Amino acid sequence: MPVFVKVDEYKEILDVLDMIKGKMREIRGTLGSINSLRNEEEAELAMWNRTINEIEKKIESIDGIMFKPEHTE
Amino acid sequence: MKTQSEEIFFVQVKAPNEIRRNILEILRDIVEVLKKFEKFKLIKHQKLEKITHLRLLLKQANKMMSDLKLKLPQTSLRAVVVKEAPKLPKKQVYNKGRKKAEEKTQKREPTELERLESELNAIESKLKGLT
Repeated sequence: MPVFVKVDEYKEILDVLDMIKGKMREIRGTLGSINSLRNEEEAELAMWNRTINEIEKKIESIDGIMFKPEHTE
Repeated sequence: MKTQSEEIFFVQVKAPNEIRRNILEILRDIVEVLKKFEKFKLIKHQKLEKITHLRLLLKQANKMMSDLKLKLPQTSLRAVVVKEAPKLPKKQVYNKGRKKAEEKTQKREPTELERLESELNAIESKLKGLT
C-alpha cells in the first residue's frame, strides 16, 4: 500500500534529515576527539608509572648506600 | 656535661657524589611529574567539556528525530521482516558456550563513553533505516 506525502512536507522532511545528518557528523567528530583525549590520558598515566618506578629505584639505591656505611662492611 | 656535647660522631657515606646525583635526578623527576599532572588536569578538563558538548549534541539530535517523526505520515505500516534460516543443531550447541562467555563479558557496567557510543549507533541505524 503506497504512502503519499505532500511535496512541501516532503521537502521539510528532507531538510530535517539533512540537519540530522550534519548533527551526526558533529557527534562523530566530538566522539573521536573524546577518544583521542582518553588515549592521551592513558599515555600520561603510563608515563607517570614509568617515572615513579625510576624514582623508586633511585631511592632504593640511596637507601642501599646510606645503610651500608664504609666501616660496617 | 660539656665533654658529652662536644663528642660528635660521624658516619662516612660511601658514594656521596652518587647520592647527590640521585637526589637531584629524583627532584627533576618529581618536577616533571608535577608538570605532567598539570597537563593531565588540562586533558581531563577538555575531555569533560567534550562529553558535555556531546551530551548536548545528542539531545539536539534526539529532538530532531522526534521532529522528523512528527513530520512523517502517521501510518500503521510495518517494514517486512525477513526471517533467518534455522541454524544447525550442532552449531547451536557450540554457540551456547560461546553465548555464555559473551554474556559474562557483557555483565560489566558500561562506561559513560560506551553508553554514548551505543546511543549514537542506535540513532545512526534509525537514520539509515529512514534514508
